[in-house]
Amino acid sequence: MDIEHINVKLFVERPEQVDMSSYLTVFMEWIQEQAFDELLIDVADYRHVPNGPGVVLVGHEGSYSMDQTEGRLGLLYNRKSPMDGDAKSRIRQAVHAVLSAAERLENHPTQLDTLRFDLRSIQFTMNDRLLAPNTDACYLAFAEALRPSLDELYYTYEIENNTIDLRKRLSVLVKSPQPIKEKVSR
Amino acid sequence: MLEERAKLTPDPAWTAYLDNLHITDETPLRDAHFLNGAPSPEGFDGWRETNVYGQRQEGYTTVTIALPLGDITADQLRGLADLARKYVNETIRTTVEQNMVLRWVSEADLIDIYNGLNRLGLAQAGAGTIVDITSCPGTDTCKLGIAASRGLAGELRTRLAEKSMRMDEAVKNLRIKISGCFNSCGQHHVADLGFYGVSRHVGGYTVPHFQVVLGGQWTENAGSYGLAVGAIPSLRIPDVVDRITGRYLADRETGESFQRFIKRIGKAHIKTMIEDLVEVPPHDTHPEFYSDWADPREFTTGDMGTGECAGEVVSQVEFALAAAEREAFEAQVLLDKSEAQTAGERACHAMLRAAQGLTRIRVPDLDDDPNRIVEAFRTHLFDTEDFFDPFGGGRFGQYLFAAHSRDGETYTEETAHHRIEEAQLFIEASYSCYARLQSAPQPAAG
Repeated sequence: MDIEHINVKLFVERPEQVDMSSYLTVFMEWIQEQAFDELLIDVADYRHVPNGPGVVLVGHEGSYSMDQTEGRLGLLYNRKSPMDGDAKSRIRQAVHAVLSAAERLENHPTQLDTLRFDLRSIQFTMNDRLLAPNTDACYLAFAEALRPSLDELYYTYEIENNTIDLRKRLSVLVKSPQPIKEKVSR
Repeated sequence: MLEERAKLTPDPAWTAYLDNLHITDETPLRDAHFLNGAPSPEGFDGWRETNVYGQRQEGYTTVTIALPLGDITADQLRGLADLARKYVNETIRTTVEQNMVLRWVSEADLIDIYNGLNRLGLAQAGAGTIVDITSCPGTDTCKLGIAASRGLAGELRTRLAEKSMRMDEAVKNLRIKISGCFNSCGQHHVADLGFYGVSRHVGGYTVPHFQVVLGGQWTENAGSYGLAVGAIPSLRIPDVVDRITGRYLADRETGESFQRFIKRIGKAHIKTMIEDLVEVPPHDTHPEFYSDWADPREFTTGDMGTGECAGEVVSQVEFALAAAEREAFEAQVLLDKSEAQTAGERACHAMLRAAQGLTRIRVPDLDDDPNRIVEAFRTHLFDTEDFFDPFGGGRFGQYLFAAHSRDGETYTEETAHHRIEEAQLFIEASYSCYARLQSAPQPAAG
């Protein structure tokens, strides 16, 4: 299975404390600062969509969003453009992107007292149902491809069982009793 | 429209569909049954009141799925497809108000459909009411967008939704439609309250504004177009909505429609009601006026004027354009009084005045002679393509040339209405041209 269009999501610890409108400003700042080695283009506001994309920082290579899909608020990195390297390096790039953005967000002056991400959980989704149909075979291949990266992230972890449904994207939820290793998360 | 169509190469596809109209026919999937007082879940009654209406065929209803700003996620669409398969023969229609409808719904299925929509986050009430705002993409994604129509729509939606439960029916049933520019993709011209994005220069900054459009009719297949009564800073548009709807609520006569109410009290009076909202406070004390809805960035900083010489010309141009705008509005008031001839002439004069003011950037001593104004405008701004809209080309300039060539024409109410619309668009194009000229590199001050 070719690993492209990977999504990585970190969940927010206390979503009720989050002021979604603040991300319009923060993400606009990131564009002006060109905060990452990616081309950041625009901010789209989808707060009005129930369980929707939330506030999206649209980029060329990938987009970042405070995402509300399935009613779970979290920071999502959605890789869009093709990546070089093998599966491990692609997954590592996406994880690095979401962790960097999470750290930057937590340390933003407007978020210091309110925003914390739960680093004991991380969700990987293949945002391409053609490339990675949600089947048992693809699920096993995806989980196997994730393991080297997960071994770097966590001392111990569990990959939750996937619900096989061809109409849904292939998604893997990983849980660990400990947060992501300090040296990786920072 | 007929003139524009005459320029197009005929295409059989224009009429080919007429032979196959029945392709969109629908038949019911399930037999018609009534609810017969079945117990309903919380929220069902309010949803049914605004989102469901009975078909002529007894026992069948049409369900509107209200999509906030026309947005729906992929997961919601798949869930909606499941409902359509189960209840209505796999057919979903989109609407011009950016919603979706299911037809031929057996009344007895309404509760199940409501529960299904609720699970998908699609059971929002208020379809076809004042909270169900139509908006084009505006500056979010459209290259033509001047102002954030979706940002404004989202803000109005949030504010109005809070009040909707205690809102009077007369106000609740009004329609708001918003476009990010004059191109009307948000259908602002056929709304009770329409808005389209424009910009104004204030103290060297560009400030997002919306033109307030009144008198449009969305009923009777969009029976008449509204006309702009004035540009208001974006930040104050919610106040405009409050004032006008509040006044309608307080002063309407029994059974009086919004369009009739506007006509009765007159656009001149409406303009005075919102006149104080036109003022833009200084950037130093009120920077929030210089950003658009849902976009905290300063609207533009690159448009700041440079040099004293340019500053002097700026004030003259702005003065002339504001005067032209006033004249175009006076033309509207005259038209409302059925003085079509004077209205049409006034609209043409408004265009001339705008052209004169703008052309004086290049020809400072341009006098009041209409022929010389039109020729100077053509030579110095039109033929150079400086006046051209980046996407619309020279069409707004053509409005001036056409009006000038028809000097002395006799106006009907319809042709006067056209001329006023053209004058408003020409004046907006003049503002845009002026902004572009201002942001272009200036020669060193002498």
